[in-house]
Amino acid sequence: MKSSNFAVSFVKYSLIDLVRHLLFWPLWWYSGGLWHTCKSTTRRIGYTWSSLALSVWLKNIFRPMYGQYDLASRLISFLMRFVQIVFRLLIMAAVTAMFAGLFLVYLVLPPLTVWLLIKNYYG
Amino acid sequence: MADQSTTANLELEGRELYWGRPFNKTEIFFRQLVAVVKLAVRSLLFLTAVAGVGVLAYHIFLALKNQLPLNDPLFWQGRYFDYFLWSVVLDMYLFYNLGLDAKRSYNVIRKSFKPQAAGKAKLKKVDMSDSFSLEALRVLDKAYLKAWRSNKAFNLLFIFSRLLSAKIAAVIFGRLGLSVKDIKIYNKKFLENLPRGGTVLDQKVHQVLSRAYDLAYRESRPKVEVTDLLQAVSELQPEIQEILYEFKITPETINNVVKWANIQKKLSSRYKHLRAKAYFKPKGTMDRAMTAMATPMLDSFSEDYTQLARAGYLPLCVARDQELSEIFNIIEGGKNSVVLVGLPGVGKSNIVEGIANMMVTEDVPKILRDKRFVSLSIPHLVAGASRPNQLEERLMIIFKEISRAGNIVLHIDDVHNLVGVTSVGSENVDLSEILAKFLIQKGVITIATTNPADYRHYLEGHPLNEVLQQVIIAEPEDNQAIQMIESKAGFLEGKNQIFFSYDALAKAVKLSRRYIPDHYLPDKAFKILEEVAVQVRQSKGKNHAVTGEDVAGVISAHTHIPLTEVTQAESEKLLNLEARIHQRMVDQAEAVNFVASALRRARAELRDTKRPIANFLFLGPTGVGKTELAKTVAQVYFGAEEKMVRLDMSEYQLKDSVNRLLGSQTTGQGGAVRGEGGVLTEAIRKQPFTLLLLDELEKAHPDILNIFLQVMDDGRLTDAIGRTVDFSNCIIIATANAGTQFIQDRVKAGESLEEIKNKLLLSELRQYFKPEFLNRFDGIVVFKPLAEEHIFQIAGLMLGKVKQRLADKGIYLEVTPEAQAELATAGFDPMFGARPLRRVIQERVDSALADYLLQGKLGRRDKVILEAGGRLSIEKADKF
Repeated sequence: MKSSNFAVSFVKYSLIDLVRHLLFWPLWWYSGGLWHTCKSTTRRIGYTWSSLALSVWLKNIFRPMYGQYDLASRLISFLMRFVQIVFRLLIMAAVTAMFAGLFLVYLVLPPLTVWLLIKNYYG
Repeated sequence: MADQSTTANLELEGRELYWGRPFNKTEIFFRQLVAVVKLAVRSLLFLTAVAGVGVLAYHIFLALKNQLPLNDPLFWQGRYFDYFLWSVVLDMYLFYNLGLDAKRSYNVIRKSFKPQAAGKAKLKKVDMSDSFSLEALRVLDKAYLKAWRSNKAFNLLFIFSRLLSAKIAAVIFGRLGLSVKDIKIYNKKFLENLPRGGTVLDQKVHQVLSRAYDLAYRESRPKVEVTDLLQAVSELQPEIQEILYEFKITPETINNVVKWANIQKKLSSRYKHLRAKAYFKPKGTMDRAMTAMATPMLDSFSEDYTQLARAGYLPLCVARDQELSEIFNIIEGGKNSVVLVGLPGVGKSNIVEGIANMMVTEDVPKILRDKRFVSLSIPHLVAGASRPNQLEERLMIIFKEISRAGNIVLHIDDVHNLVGVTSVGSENVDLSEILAKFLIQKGVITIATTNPADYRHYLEGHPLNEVLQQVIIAEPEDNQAIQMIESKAGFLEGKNQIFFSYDALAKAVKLSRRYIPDHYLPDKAFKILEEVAVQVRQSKGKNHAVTGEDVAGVISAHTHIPLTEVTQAESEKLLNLEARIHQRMVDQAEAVNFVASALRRARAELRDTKRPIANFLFLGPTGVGKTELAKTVAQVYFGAEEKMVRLDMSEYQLKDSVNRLLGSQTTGQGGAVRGEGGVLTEAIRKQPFTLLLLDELEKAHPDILNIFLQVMDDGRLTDAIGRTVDFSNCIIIATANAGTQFIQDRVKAGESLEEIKNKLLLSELRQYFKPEFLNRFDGIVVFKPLAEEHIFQIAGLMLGKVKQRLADKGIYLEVTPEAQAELATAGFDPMFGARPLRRVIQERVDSALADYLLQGKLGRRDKVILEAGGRLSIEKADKF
């Protein structure tokens, strides 16, 4: 008697739990999960930024390269640095676009999948 | 069943901690069930994800085959595409499922060092169990189930029993040189004695959980680990402490070993951090800002430490945080250059290497970031400079390169070597002055090293000293040194395929500090361990533990001082010390007993280790055995008669002779101060475990007696050069002939030795020694004049020696009792004790034997008989 009561209540509570768990899924996707994805995206972009040494290049844009302080060297240096910075910014932009794209996929994936499924079955 | 609400909760950083994971059978069962289900569901989801990708590939393959373009609505339909879509839904669920768990597991609260607002009305509640590692939780659950199965109260002994089965426990107890099996047997006995009757929760369980959490919090660990539980359990349960005491372990030892395990973990994570960050450090001479210049001259006379560190060649620096922050503070504070002053072996180079590693990860003050750390080698610089001014030229070019490159941090090892160096020819400037000037003008950051003696000799008062700020690198404390050794022990273990017990490391540090005075920690302890490791591998084979006894054995072999535990044979020897001494000494029973018991105290380590082992004053007439007893002690305790430093104090009658004892300092050429060690201090420094015999002490100058006052009290003496010499492993024996006449008269008058001694102390000795000086002796022993029967015995001992010498030549000597008595009578002189006896034996026995030997009358296997009247008869051996 006692054990069957227990079994019934166990099944009941497990089902309620399961329903609650499934209902929480979309909510989590756009709150906790979103926060998590956001953080990992910014971390990856930050890593790219530091491996391209962009802050170092930007900070030293007016500083002559190779310790050559005469006017001509300063000019060449500035141009060289400028080209470097532009080139590196381009890489940066491409990488950022890729990570931002992935982030966008995260955002639209659930509605898109659901929409495609509905369309395929009912439309 | 006990409930968690009954326990007092822990309060930390303004949060209230509670244990929210009940202990009962059903809960544990469901937790296990849920874990299994979760794992099964996740594996299935993962498989569908993989299958989904396959299905999509097949769909695309079909679409390509049917030449369907992407913009065709048919491409986005179909059975396989639907399957793929469903798999995407399941993938998203898997992400959700994993994400929930990642959020659930909290880390242990971080230390904030902020003052807490006192008396907050409501504290935020935090469940401790969320911060326990999975393994720790599993240990707790299994311990509970075990208690439940045996129907006994759930207490710490059950937790301890489960902890012993954990993997890390085998490592920790292995480090302590114990097998977990033995401990389990003891624990089982305690478990069996527990009364049955319901699995109630012991109050201490919650204490242990809180304590374990607290330990993890103090050490800033993200999770409460099994080791924290082990530490907490061993602190809180008296029965467990009893078991551990049985194996000579205290909770502190466990604490230290756990720390060792954590140091290794920390080192490996630091190494990973270094490897990850090294990727960003430029490989060549250029900095990331591309402002540097090539430095060819500097490169050919130096080594690039940042490159070595980047490639992972330099070891990490441990337990020197304080020194590192001092160095960085000075550099940041504007005084650009430092000189690390430390004794050889204390780890100056290790600190420098640590800085190189930190420069690679850029965990350094801003002024040191994006720079190269270059070590200028003075030997390379000086070598082969044969032209006049070539040295100066080299140095100037190097300095020019450094100041133009602008990204160099300079390291100069043994910077004192630059002082006084000039190139060939006269009128040259000292290299060190060029360096000093350069450092002042250009402000290049420099980290130099030197040792205290050279610092004093060469740098004090030198222009360099004004540029270089001194940072003292002291010899590490025991615990600090043990940590340093722990960080390096892994290397030796790997190389020799053995493993160190904690005791081995601790003993290496403690014993080498005490018994190897000329070298410094941690280097000397590491060298000892290197030697022990090889020895253990050779004697015991691979995969054996190095114990503290192994270490003691090696140090003992170096120093000839018994350091290992007293064995049965040795304890018998010690207990029969008097008999052993009497084999060489005749009579003087009181003196022998006195000395023997002092030696036993010393060997049982019951003495004060800050003072000499024993200080004795032997009083008595000449030739009664004072020196002989001292020699015997040297042989019995230190292993050889030669282990004795003998100073004839009659040579130190003048006040100036202090300089001979302690050394002196002279100011030499160029203001450099040169020191010379003293007779006493040098002898003890070279041989610290020795018997110091001060003959005829009463003849020394009173100032010299004052020096010994300090030695006998503190066990240390500082010589003229400033080195402290340790006397705590010496036995000091002073002899004095003062009051000889008095002793002889009193003995004749039939007074006891005790009475004579008291009278001597009150009257006779006062003229020579101050009362406080006499007070410093552990024992003042009066040797009584020898009687004729003693001389007879001494004659026996001396003739024994002659016999021994002849036996080496294969000749037997026999002495009749009459002959021995005759010699004793001839050699006895109430004034000079046994001293004339030696001469008599030499004249009457040795000389006659020498004649016989030279004449060829004595051959091997012959027997010589010494008879009364000094006659020698020979019994020739049978010929073959």
